[in-house]
Amino acid sequence: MSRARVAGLKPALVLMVICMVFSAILVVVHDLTKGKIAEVEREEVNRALSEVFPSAEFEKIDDYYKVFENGVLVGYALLGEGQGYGGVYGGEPIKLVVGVNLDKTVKSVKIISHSETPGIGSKIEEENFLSQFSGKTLEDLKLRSDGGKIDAITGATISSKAVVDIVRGEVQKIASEMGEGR
Amino acid sequence: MKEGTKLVVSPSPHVKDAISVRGIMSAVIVALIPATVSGIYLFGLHALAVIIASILSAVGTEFVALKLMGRKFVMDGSAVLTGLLLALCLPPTVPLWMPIVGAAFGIAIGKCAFGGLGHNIFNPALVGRVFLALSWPALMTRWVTPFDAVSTATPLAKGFGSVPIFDLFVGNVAGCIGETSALAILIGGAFLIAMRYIDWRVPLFYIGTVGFLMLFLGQNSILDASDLDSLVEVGKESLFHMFAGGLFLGAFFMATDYVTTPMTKLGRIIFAVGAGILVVAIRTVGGYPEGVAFSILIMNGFTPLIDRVIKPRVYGTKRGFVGGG
Amino acid sequence: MRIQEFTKGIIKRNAVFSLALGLCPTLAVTIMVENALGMAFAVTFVLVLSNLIVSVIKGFVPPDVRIPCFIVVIASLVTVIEFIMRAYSPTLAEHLGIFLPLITVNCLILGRAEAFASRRPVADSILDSLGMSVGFGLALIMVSAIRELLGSGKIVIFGHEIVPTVLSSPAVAMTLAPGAFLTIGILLAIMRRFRVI
Repeated sequence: MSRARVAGLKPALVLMVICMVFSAILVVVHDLTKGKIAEVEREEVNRALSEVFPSAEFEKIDDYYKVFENGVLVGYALLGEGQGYGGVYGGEPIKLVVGVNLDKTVKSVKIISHSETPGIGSKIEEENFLSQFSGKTLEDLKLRSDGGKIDAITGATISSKAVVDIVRGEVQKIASEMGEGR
Repeated sequence: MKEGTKLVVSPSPHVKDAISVRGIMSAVIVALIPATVSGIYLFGLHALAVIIASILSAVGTEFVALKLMGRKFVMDGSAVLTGLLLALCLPPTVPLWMPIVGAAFGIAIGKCAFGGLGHNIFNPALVGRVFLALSWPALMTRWVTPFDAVSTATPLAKGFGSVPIFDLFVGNVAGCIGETSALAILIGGAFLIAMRYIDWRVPLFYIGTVGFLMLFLGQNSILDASDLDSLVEVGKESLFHMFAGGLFLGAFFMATDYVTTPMTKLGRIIFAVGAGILVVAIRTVGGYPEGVAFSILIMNGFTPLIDRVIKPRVYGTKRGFVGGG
Repeated sequence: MRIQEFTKGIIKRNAVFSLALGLCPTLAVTIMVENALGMAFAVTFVLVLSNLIVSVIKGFVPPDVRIPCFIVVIASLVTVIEFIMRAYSPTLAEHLGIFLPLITVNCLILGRAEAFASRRPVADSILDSLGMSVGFGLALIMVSAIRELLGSGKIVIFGHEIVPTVLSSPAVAMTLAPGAFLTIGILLAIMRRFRVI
């Protein structure tokens, strides 16, 4: 190989070496933190699940949880998230947990986190709004203006619709899961 | 600007002297008297206190801001008008600090930060209103019925059919202090049009666009109407959307502002139609029951563009649009 | 080694108010002082280490691949700090959200690497990055303190109430994007008026 060709390769080689060195550093840091990150995420999920089913045990299956109380299956819990109004501007999505009874009706809904407009969209956290979901079937899980049985919050139609859509999506998931099981 | 200089070079609109500004502003304030009086009559003395607080705050803020800018304070009435307009589009239940904060914000940020009267892009009263609506949404949506002050929602939030059209027309409904009575606003607006202070095209095309589109896009659409009764319903809903909310107040007193709307007749029609389309869009598919304030502010932003595209024909040149330069 | 390399970045050549660099995170994360502190910490970590590494490797990086090399260094450092934050401060990591990985494309960091660290000695580069970080952090804290005070009525940092409730009904608009623009604009106007910068 001539000198000129070696010189031409130098930039690529330097870049390659730098990439390798930093990849190695990333591998090490990832290894060191991955246990801790997984633990943090597990704790967060457990805290959320016990919001809808206090004092129960959870068994993770794919993307939902079977809920047992004293060893008996009592329902399902799912974590859902979706774009609300706040998320449009790069904020956090709405994250919530849905408890579903064995008869595919909603047990309850709790909001874990959101970045909706304080004072308007943030009312999705309130019991007034969330208590509407209890006992609703898949068909009812729409805003009243779309033919369902959930009343939107005044001035916060987009946030309300986002919550309803997330919940409906999760209940749908469980319903089709149970349909297959039969 | 030196004292005593006769020749003043300024961007449009060409304000010749303080006296004529004062003349126009006084006429507009006089024209607002029916709406103001009806607001105080319907919602009580607290409404009067809100109006006074708003005006005092607007004038005071302008005084301080001009002092800070090293300019002479002229009592041209524009700050009084801003304060009055802001108060008229606030709910009658607001605590007194809200008109004070809103008027100060509108004048300081919406007007003086841009260089004072004649330089502001956005209507200062609406800037103040939108700041209040974004900041204290709960306080800005506490509505009460006239006279007995029982809390309730506005007709627009409740939807078509919640109140008789006649009540909407005279103002016997929940709403902002000065926006409920279409009749009172119409009296003041007719005065301004008769005196040639405002262009009749703006309210006509603005309110007309909303009424026309609502024939098609309301809960009752003219396309689905099969018999006379359903046609009457369609017409009623269209009227409902014209009289409800702040459309009349906005159309006669805010979309006609000299500074923040286009200069040419055609430009003003484009402005009015655009604002009308925005109101319908916000009311039918948007997240808010009302959209007049946003529609005018958004079209304020388009005003320089409209003026640029639609220039007055220079005498002796061909008719037609002159592209921006 | 000159001490003014450190001091210039704090006020005179402040990243946000004078150089207008890194405005995107400044607008986005300054809703709360807590977020501003987290962002300032992350940027300091990345900026100081990247300036140090760039200054060390500048001798043998060929000019035609220097930008890719710098970006690899910066992106790796950002990923490291992201892993650490997600493991040890998950709430903060969630608040900063997408703006944590976006530090990679913060003009301030590549700007200092390219304009300063790639041509100056190591000691000067570290001083420069420290000064710039302090200036950036101060700007974030200033903007966020004003926004949190007016927009939330009180200042809470990591669970401690630093300033108790002073506004019973705070101005929510200050926590939204317009509030950030207003605050930065007014601060800039005041600083220009009194010739601070």
